[in-house]
Amino acid sequence: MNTVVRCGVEVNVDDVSAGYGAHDVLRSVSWRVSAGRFCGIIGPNGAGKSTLVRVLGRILAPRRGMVRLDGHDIKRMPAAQYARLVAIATRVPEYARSFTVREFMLLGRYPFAGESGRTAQGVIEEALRRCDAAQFSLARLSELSSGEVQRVAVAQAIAQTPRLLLLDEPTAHLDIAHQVGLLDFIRELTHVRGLTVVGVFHDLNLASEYCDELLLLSEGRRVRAGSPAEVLVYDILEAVYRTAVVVKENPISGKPYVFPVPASWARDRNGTEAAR
Amino acid sequence: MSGSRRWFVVLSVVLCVTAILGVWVGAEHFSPVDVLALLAGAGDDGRRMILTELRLPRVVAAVAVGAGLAVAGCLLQSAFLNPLCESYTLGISSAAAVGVVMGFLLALPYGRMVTSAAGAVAGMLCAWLMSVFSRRTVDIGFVLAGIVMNFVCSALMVLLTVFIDPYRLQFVLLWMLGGFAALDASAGYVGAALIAAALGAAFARARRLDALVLGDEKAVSLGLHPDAERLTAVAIAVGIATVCVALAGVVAFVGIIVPNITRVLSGQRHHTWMAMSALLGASLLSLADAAARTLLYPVEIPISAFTGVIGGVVFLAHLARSHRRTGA
Repeated sequence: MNTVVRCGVEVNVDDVSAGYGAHDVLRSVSWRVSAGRFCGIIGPNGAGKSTLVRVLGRILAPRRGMVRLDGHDIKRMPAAQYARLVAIATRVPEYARSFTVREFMLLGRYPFAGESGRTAQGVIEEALRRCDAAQFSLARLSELSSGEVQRVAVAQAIAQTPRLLLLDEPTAHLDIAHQVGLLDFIRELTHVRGLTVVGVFHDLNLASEYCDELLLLSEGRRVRAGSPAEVLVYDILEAVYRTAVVVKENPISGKPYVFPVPASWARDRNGTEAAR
Repeated sequence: MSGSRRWFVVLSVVLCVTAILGVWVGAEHFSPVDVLALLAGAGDDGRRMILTELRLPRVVAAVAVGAGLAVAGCLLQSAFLNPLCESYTLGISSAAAVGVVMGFLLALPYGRMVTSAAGAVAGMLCAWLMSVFSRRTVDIGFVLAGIVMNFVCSALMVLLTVFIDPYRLQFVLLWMLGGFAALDASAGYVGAALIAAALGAAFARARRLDALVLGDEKAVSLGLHPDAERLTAVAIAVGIATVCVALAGVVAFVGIIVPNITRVLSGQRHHTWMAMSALLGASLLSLADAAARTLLYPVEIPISAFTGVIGGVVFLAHLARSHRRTGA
């Protein structure tokens, strides 16, 4: 694994506003992510989670503010240098699914043109194996299920040997075994090897279990950032998600976990208060 | 890998056979032996002139246009991540054709290559403006605007033929419906050289195109500027389409049929995919041209009649397949 992971970068999001057309989706968001941490962005639909990932991924230029990696403004970085620092795992377009897994993985080494074929092969095989995708390497992507494609996409991003890994809902199509397998692996990359990871999570409980730090966004603004125990607090979540929730502690991991309460029960506030 | 290499050999052989066949059949027959003898200076001068001034340029042009249209299809499909894009469906060919017909009507002192380029560039600017005003994402907006351009330009071309004097109409129609009957020998060679140069430019960008089709987010994280790559790919495709229209008029669907077949055969690494497409496109068009000038001799059948039928079938197959996929 030594070949695959290099130590992470520190990420600073300074007062970033960004959006599409005249409309700002992100409004004055500041956030600091230390090197080697696994950080999750959470929030309701339309809160600006994916937009923030797009700003970090340099797809969208911020209208105000800047993003710095180890102190360097990403806007001023040459594209090739940026490509050797940051990798993103995205949905693979339907159009690109005629690639075989091996061809697809080799594209992850695109920023390292000129390296030997053996180096690339070693990195690729390791990444595939760790994402439980080595058995597909000769298949075309179109022959795989959506969960399998997703594992290959994460493997490709890891094979790019980034120092910052961006994930947009990395586990959306995965069964729980593969969710846990993939996130265990990514956490190992951060804790043992020092990679910095920023991911968007819809599942608050997975975010709570795996992330060192969370950023809760609502309507484009930062609501709270900190450890899962600091962010996943029932009154904050109820206000942001406009849903009654119960927050308890996972007896094994000690991390908070969140139940939504059906609206019919939530009407009886006394009942939920008692349960809490 | 070995599979695509095998197909590469097969298609190369097919191209050789169709090209030889293309030279062979027609009003005058030239077997490979005849060709060599005539080129070496032996035999009848009249026949040599038919060979060098009519037949060879025609086959060279058909091969170049077939390869060009197929690769332009690959480029446009990858630029817009849409397997139904090509220079015809996006209106590039029709816009170029309007340019040529306008040049013809106004008796402009420029060749077909120039008026065709002017038409294509003007058409693409209109499509781009439309896509900007449609306020959709650039790729979808541009594809829709291109489809609109195709309809408008096709209608415009029909309208313009009304003003062409009847004596020259036959000539314009021959070219307009797609075919090599109205081809000028030197234009054929120059056009083929231009197309070859554009194909070289496309192949030089094969690896970047591989990365581009993974989506803009991924392309940026691999160190590319996706908008610039997309623009370059479209520019090369417009250049190719311009020359193809100048040589052979509007030949529809080659750019859809061929890349969609070769994608299944060879996968999507642009290097192999575009090479296979060039070979198959060249074979298809030289075969279609040979059929066009022999089947109903002495009448020439427009090439689009063949490519349109094959294109319709491929389109249907594509629909059926995507229907099955979404149904599953």
